[in-house]
Amino acid sequence: MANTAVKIENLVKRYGEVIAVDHLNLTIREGEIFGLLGPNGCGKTTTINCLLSLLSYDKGDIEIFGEEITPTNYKLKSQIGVVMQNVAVFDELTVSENIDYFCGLYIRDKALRKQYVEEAISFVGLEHFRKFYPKKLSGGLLRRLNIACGIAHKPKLIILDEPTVAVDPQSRNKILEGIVELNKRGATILYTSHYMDEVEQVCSRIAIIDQGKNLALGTTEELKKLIKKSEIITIDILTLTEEDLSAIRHLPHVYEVSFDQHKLTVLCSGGQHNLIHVLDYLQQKNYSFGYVHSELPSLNDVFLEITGKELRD
Amino acid sequence: MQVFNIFFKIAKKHLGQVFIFSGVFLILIFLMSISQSRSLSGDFSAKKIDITILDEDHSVLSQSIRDYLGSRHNLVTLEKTDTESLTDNLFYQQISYVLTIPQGFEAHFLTDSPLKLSHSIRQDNANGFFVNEQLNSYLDSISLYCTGGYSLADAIAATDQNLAASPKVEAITFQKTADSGNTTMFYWFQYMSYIFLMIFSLSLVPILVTFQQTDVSARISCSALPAQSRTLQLGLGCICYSILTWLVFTLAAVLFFGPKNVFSQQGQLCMLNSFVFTQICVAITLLLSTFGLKDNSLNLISNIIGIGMSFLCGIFVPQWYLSTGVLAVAKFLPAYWYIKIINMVTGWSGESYSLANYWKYIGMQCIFLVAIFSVYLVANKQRKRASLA
Repeated sequence: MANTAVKIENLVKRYGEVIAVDHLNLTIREGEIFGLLGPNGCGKTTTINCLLSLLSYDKGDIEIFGEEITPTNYKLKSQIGVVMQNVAVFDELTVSENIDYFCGLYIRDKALRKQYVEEAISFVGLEHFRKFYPKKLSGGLLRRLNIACGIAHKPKLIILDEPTVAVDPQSRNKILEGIVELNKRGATILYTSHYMDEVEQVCSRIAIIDQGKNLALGTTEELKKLIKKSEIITIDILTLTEEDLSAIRHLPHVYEVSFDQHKLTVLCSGGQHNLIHVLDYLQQKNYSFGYVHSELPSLNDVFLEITGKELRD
Repeated sequence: MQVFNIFFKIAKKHLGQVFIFSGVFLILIFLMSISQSRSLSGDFSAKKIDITILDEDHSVLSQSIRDYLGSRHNLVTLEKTDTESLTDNLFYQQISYVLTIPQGFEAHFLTDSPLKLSHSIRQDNANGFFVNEQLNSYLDSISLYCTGGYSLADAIAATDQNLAASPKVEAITFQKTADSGNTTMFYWFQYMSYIFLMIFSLSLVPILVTFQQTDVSARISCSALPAQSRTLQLGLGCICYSILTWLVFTLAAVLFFGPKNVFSQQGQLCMLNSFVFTQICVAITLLLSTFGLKDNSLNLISNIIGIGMSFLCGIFVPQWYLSTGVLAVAKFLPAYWYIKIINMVTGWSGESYSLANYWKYIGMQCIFLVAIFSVYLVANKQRKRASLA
C-alpha cells in the first residue's frame, strides 16, 4: 500500500455566512494523479489554498507526507510545487529568468539550478522562447511557462489548479502529456479541473466536490458504477407505436425509453449487450432504422446524477 | 538573495521613468539658474534721488537743510520753478522730489507755530517718503539741541556732526559666512524633493506592486523561502534603491557645483536634509504600493501627491508667497519642513539660521517618516489579512 501524500480531514472554511469547504475529507496516495473535479466555485481552489497554507481555515487537519502543513514549515514546502489557476509570473522577466527566479526560491546551488531550469524549459517545450517576455507569449505558451515555474525544482508533490483554462488544444495535449510524464518520474499530482475529459484522461482517482462537499471518490470506473445510468442507446427510426415503446421498456436493464422527432433514446442501467437486445427487437418487428449510437456514461453524467446539475453550470 | 536580485532586475525595466524625471529636473534647474539669479548679498547703500529745493527763506537753517540734503541726494536746479514746470519735471522724471522752504521758516522754527515745509513727490516713487523721513529726523535733531540750550548755529553743527558719523551696521547672516556664489545648488536641493517624490512613486511602486500581485505573491508564499527573508530582501532592495538614487543626485550636484559648494556647511546641511526626505519618499512609496496601483491610476496619484505637495509646501512657489491658510495646511506635510530648512539655510525666507531649528525641522520630518511608515505597516497587514481571509 502506497504511503499517504496528502491527508485532509474534516476541513471547513467559511467566508462569513458562506461555507466554501464543508467537512471535506480526502486522502491522496503517493505516486498517483488525483483529480479534484467540480464546477467553478465549488471549493477546489479554496481547498488548495488551505492545503498550501495560503488561507487559514476554520476547522480540520491537513497533513502532507505525514507532517502538518503550516505557513512556516519551509522544509515541507520545499517538496511542493504549485501551478496556480492564474498565470503567476513576472512580466518584467524573460521566460528563463522567470523559471530561474521561482526555482531559486527552492534551489540555492546555481549550477544545479541552471540545470533544472534547462530541464524545465525543455520539458514544457519552450526552448525557442527562452528570451521572450511573458507578454509576447500566446495563452498556451504562457500556461506552459506557468507550469515550468511550478515544477522546475522537481517537487515530490505537484498541485495543478486548472492549468489548462483558456488553452488551445495543442498546448492542452502537451500539458496533459507533461502531467502524466511528471507522474511517471515519481511526482504525486493533485489536479483540479472542471473539464471532465481531462480528469478522466489523466487521473487515477477522482473526487467530485460541490458546494465544498466531497460527493464521490474513486476511479473513473468506480464513479460510473455509482450511478444508475450505464449506457445510452440512440437510434434514428421513422415510427414507433406506444406498444413498441412499452415492449422496449421491458427489455432487460432498460429503465427509461423516449421517442421524439424520429429518435429513439433508451437508457440502460448495468448489464451487457443492451444494444443487441434493442436491435433484435426492432428487427423482429421489421422496423428499418438508420443511425445507431451507444455511449457509456461520462463523468458529467455521474456529476449530473449526483448533484442534479451540469458540471459546467 | 533571490528576491533582492530580481528587485533590481525589475527596477532596470522602470528606469525610463527615472530618466524622464531626471531630464525634467535638469531642465527646471537650468531654467531657474538663468531666470532667477537671486542675490544673497546683504549690503545696503542708500539711493540718491534728484531733488529740487526752492529756498524762499534764504536763512542759515534753510542753507543747512540744503547742505544736508545735498550731501545725500542730487540737487537739481531748474530754470523755471513755476508750478506747471515743476509738475512737468516730476511727470517726466527729471526730478523726484521738490522741497519748498517758505519765507520766515527759520524765524518760526522754534516758536509754537512753526511754518511747514511743503513738498511735491512722484506718487509712484517711494523714495520721496524716504527723503521726508531724513528731513524730519534732521529738523527734530536741531530742534532738540536748541531746546537743550544750543544756539541755532551750534545745534546745526552738532546735528551735522552726529548724522555724518552714522554707525556702521553689519548684518551677520548665515549665507554670508559661506561661499554663496552658486544659488542654483540650493534650487537643486529644493526641486530634488519634487523629483524624488515622482521618481520613487513611479518607479519603485511598480516594483513593489509586482511582488504584491496576488498570484505571484501566493506562489512566493508557497515556496521554501521564509517570509522574513523575503520581507528583509524587499526592504533592503528599497533602501539600496533609495540610497543609490540619492547618491547619484548628490554626486551629480558635486559634478555641477563643485565639491567646495556641495561639501560646504550649507551644502552638508542640505544633503542631510535631502537624505531624510528621500526616506520619507520611500515610506510614501511603500504606502502607495499597498493600494496595488497600476499605470494610469498610479500616474494620477503620483502627480497629485508630487505636484500638490510641491505647490502647497513651497517647492514651486516660495513659502513667503503662500497665504497663512495654505501654510497652516502645509505644516502637516513633510515637504514643508524640508523646504523650510532650505529657506533657513539660504536665508531666502529671512529666517535666521539656527542649528536648534535645523534639528527641530529634521525631527519634524522624522516624525512624518515614522508616521507614514507606521500607516504603511498597518495597511500592509490589512492587505495581507484580506488576502488570507
